Amino acid sequence: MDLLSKQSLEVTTLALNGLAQRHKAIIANVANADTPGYQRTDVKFEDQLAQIVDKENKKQELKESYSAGLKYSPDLAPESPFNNLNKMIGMSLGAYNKLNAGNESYSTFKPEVMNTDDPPVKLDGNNVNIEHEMVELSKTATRYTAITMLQAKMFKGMNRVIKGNGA
Amino acid sequence: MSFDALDVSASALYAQRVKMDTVASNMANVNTTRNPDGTPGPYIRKEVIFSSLYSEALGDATGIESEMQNIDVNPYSKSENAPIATGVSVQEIVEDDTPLRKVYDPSHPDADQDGYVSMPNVNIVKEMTDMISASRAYEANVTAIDSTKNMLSAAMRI
Repeated sequence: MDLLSKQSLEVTTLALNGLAQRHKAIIANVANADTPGYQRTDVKFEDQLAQIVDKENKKQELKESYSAGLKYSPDLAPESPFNNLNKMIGMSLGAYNKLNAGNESYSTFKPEVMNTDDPPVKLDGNNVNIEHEMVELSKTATRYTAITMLQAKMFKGMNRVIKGNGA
Repeated sequence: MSFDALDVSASALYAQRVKMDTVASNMANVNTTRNPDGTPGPYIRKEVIFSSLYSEALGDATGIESEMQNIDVNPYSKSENAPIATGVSVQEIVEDDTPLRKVYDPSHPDADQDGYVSMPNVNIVKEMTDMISASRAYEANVTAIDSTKNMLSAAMRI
């Protein structure tokens, strides 16, 4: 794993955002378990996140193949620093810039809040099944905690690299 | 992760406590046949009505609810990108209009000319089940608060 890689941090942060949003929806469902006619809400984000990861991975691959091409290109004179740039421009400057132009796909992430069409569990039309909500609550909290631990470990790893192994 | 989730659960704790108070009042007055001023008139059972709350003030930072105004969102719409409720409120406490219990007791000072006393329309069994339901709902929300706190402190440890 690349210790200072932006992707793992970005992706885990998005996952935390999505889970926090879902947690809020579940909390609202639990709070309204006795409200007549209340319809439960749920948050969907996993598919979206998977798409973003996929997109970023493809981008990364493309980027690596570009730089590999630049580095090992036999017709590049190593003594000229401008050759790299020239080569880059020659190949496709536009595409390369696009690859380097930030990770805009991360900012498109927006968890989707939706009403589920669960059947009503009470005569007043309320469809909050409290057992289901409590299970979802604990699932969400556990996943959230797991990801925060993952992030903590990433930072700990960086810290160790900075301080050296004796620390 | 924000602290809003705690406010949502807190509103539910308050609502369930009001329900508990109402149940307690109903049970305490199961045999009350007079008004506070001493005039004859049986106690009428009270019931708490909850309503879900959608407010901008408690909305999240991602802007999904930022355009939502207080309550004028239709919470029953099946649309995608529905707002997340930001709590529950006690909308009103209504009187139960089920008929009063008539008990034959001619010696009672509040008996009518036929010897019947109008007793409160409180069904003690129903109050007991309401009490358990409110108490369980309260516990569920306490658990939810606990889980929110765990998540927040996990985020603090990153």
